[in-house]
Amino acid sequence: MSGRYQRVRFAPRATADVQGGYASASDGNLVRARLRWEPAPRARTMRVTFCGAE
Amino acid sequence: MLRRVANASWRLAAPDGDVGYWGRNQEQAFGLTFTVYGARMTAEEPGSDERLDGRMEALARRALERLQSAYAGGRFGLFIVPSLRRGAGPLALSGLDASAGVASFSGLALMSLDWSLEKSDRRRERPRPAGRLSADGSGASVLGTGQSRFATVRRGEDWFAVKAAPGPGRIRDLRFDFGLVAFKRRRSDGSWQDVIPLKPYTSNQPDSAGPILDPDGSRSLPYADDVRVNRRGVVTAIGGWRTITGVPVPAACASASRPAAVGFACPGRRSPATCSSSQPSCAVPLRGRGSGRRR
Repeated sequence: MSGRYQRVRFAPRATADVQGGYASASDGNLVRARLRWEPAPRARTMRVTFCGAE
Repeated sequence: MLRRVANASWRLAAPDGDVGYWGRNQEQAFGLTFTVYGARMTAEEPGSDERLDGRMEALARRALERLQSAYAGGRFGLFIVPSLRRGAGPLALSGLDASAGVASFSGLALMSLDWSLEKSDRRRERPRPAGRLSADGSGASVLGTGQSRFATVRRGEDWFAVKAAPGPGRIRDLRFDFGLVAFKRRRSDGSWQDVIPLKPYTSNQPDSAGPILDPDGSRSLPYADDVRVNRRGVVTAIGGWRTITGVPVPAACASASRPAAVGFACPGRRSPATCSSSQPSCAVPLRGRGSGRRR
């Protein structure tokens, strides 16, 4: 998943939902991406990696 | 007490001078200007040695540089927060506390800046030499107590901060959230880039940037009782999940997901890009009231 400033990779597969309307004191126009994983039959490690874009 | 507070500010300050990356009044200009005032007052206190003087002067100058680079400008010369300087419009106001006011908060900033002038180098025969910030070299600090505990780490070209949990009454406000709260990386020209945005001001419902457990529609939010940093700069937040009423998730839920410590690993130079990883580990089961201890 890629935005203007950030690229996010994740595993295992997930559904993604994007919501705007957030603001911090450093950025008044934030978009939030929410990832949802369904329960897995066995324990496993989830990885989320995000990279800033120059 | 002043020296302890000033030393904590020296340790928590990001390499770009940022001292307001989480919590109420996030990134307010007066946080920087009071930091300048406090740092210079600390250096003037009897008993401050050359090393502490250098640290405090470094903190003061870096805070002033950030004020210039991220807040200065506009019709009145100063924006109270960087988002207003960036011109995001009415939406930017929703990222501020209801108590924030341009007149009053600018006044606070100007007043403390004026006070700091009395402590400035220009009034001294010999300017104080500036030392280094804690964040200028590789290392880590763990600050605060309880749920406000947080760690700052500098490793190579990366600097980041990880927080334990929102305190009582703060679970609706993502600015107090658990987890990675700031992450900056040094560009080739020496300036610093925010790799992740700071967390937004929210107030509607209990929330977290996650990871959130929601197996049956009843949300559980992450928290930590402790935050630790190892020699490689890896921060481990030791805790688990709790319901929005603050109850640690019961064993039945824990057995399904086995919530445990959440690690944040900074890959450093081995990384091909400006990356960070959040790796919720399901390997350590909860113990007691949800504090899965990993040593």
